[in-house]
Amino acid sequence: MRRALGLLVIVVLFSPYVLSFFHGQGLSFDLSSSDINVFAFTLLQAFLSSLASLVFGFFAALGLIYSANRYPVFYKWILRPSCLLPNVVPVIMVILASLKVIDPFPFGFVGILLLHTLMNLGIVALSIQKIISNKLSGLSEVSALFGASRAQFLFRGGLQTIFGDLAMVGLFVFAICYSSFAIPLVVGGSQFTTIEVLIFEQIRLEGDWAKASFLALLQAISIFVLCYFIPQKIEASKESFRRNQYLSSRIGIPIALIPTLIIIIGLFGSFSMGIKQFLRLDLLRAELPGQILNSLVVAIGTGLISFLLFNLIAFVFYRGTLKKIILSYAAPSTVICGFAFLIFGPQGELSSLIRMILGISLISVPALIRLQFANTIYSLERQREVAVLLGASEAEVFKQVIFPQSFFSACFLSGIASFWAWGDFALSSIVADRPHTVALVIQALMTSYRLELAVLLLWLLLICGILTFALFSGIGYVYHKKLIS
Amino acid sequence: MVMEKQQTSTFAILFALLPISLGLLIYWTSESGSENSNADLTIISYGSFVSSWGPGPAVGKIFEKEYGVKLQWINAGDAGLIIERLRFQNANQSVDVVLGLDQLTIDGAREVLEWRNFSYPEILWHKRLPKDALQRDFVPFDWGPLAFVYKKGQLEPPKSLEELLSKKYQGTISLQDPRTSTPGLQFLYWILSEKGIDAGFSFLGNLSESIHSVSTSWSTSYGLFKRGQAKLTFSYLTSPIYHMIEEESGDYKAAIFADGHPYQVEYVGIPEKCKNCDLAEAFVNFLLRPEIQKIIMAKNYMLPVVDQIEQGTEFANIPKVRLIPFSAQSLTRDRRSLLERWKKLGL
Repeated sequence: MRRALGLLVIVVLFSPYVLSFFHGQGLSFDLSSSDINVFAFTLLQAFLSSLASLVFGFFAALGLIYSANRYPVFYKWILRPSCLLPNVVPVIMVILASLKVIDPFPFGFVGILLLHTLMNLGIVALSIQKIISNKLSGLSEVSALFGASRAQFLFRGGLQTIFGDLAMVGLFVFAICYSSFAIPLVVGGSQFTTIEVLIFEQIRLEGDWAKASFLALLQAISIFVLCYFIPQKIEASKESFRRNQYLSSRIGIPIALIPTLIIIIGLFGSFSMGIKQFLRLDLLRAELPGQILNSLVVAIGTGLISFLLFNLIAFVFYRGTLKKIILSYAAPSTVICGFAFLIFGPQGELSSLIRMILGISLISVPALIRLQFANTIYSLERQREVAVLLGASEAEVFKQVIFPQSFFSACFLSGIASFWAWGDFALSSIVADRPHTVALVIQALMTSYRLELAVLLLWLLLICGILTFALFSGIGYVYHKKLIS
Repeated sequence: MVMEKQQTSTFAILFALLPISLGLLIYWTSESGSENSNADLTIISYGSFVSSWGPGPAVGKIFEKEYGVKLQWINAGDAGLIIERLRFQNANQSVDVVLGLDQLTIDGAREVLEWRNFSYPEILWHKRLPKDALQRDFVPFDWGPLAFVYKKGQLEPPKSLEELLSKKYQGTISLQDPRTSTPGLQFLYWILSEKGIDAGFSFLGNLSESIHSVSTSWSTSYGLFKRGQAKLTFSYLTSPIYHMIEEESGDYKAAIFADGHPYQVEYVGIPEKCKNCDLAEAFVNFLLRPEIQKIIMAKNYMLPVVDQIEQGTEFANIPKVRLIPFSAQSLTRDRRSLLERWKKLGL
């Protein structure tokens, strides 16, 4: 049964590639020297962006731990959602807000790194916080007893212990920046072309799906190869938020808050104009409740499908090759994925929503596995081995050991996927046949001069996103407590 | 014991989700055609045309009432992706009318699909609509000259392309990337057809000092302009009318160049594979009616293709600019190499 489910996971994950190659009439293996330069630049900017996100994310994580211990209410209701916000807001909003607040803005390569770091720092911080709490709490207490300094603790053992986990988080950011589209173009200029732009050029300007599919495949293979050789550390973990001098720092709190503050300050204002525009659009007022409901359906649906996929993956994860494939897999380019799903099913509102749910889930899950879920199920490997040695079947092991302990992580990450679903318009605009969701309405408003109303609706979208994220996380927390008690 | 039960039920729910999801997926993918299979006419267009405040629903409602039929609108999102959307529609999803291609994209559309020739009704075309706008297989439904837009009091408007090179415009212009945006491609072709290819690229190189940013889309570049980060943006001559009508602001102006302006013509076409071709043709004719042209003009903020429609409205007051006729065909042929050269400029 596990083998069949493993095959199912592979089929599901690779379906967008298969569909797009099938539909693009094969592949065109035609790479020019300028294409190779694009690959080199994309690699470089993604590497440096992920490095910067990791460094600042690490300090922000220390701030999160400090705040979780000292100011739990502030941590739970302000700091933690704030960390997620820059990663879920539509990219164009991050660009507009950052260019307004950071004046003069350092256009060029530095600008690209800066925006990528601002976007990913918070989510990286949340993930590193969990890694630190899981894996370094005990070690840090022992180090403190022996009188080691913070630098000694970190550089003579602490960072080494979590190196594999940090590499996975780095890969999460790397994969996002590797497929970055708008940021390099807007703040970098035309010479800073990424592979995603190249894919888009092939589709939009040349109509060359064979070449676009080949570029997407190369994009995926390069991430696959990179991930394949990242070392994985398997450590038994115990979640802990104990106070510790090495693992918390108040300086990290402003670092964690800066990206969100930039977005809030940058997008604040012009509310009166937004309201005025809203009042002039009678039809939008009438349609908006339905569009909010559709967005809710997409968000909850994405959360549920992601949850299902996380658990399927947790069940089949402990097979050597399959584990490597799952960890190394990167979702295809949004444009490729969107068009691949277009050929499925009939037209209409329900079909559009189903396509959105499937597409966003398939794009989100591989990234979220790298961000945290792999770490969670890795940490259960020893327990699983003991249970198998004691004669438990795979199904029993999953039911009694893995499922209860990975439940919270699966719910938390499904919450993030549902948050992303609220703000997605990249994939949705390709697979939807009308502006069915709030994100699509925001996109359409922006293309018809109504930026202020778009910003106003963005706030609504963020509030709804936080609520669905809280719903998934809350369910995860409550059931996790019950399941392991 | 209670805990054990709870764990088992959560586990059971989880694994019940799997066959249910698979079953639903298989059922859904086996459904052919459209959920709205009772629609008589399927029309594909870009997002802002199809959205509730765009012209699509208003025009569609009148057509449905008059002809007693049901329309289905498909949103292709970005206008530039309409062709790809058509390519990827599955066999059961036929499209009767394609609305929103422009003069730079219709050649690409002709490569992907065959289009029905159109017999134009007797129409008094807009006097200023360039004659080459009329095509045998694509019918223009709106149009508009392109121009640099600025906010009164923020800078002195430029009067020519050369003036944009002046130091006073340093870091002020927000443009669109021609690889990802149709107005961006219009801008590139404008410069190259005005100045010649080599001189055009040399001009663009010199322009880099004046450029604030090059965005992926018109909406991003206009957003940067509206939020005050850029002082000039490449948009439509009709853009200030939006601000006048919707925001009651007369502060937005278009910079008028004596040498002339490029223009965009938006087209509607009927694919040969249409399902309800007669009704599709009736719809295209319907779009050219004066009262419908008025709706498109008012909601899309573009000029009508039929004469006299804008009389008595703000649109009648837009400056009469010289239109630059340029042959996009030769440039379109060399598009790939031109865009490579654009990339190397590093704007």
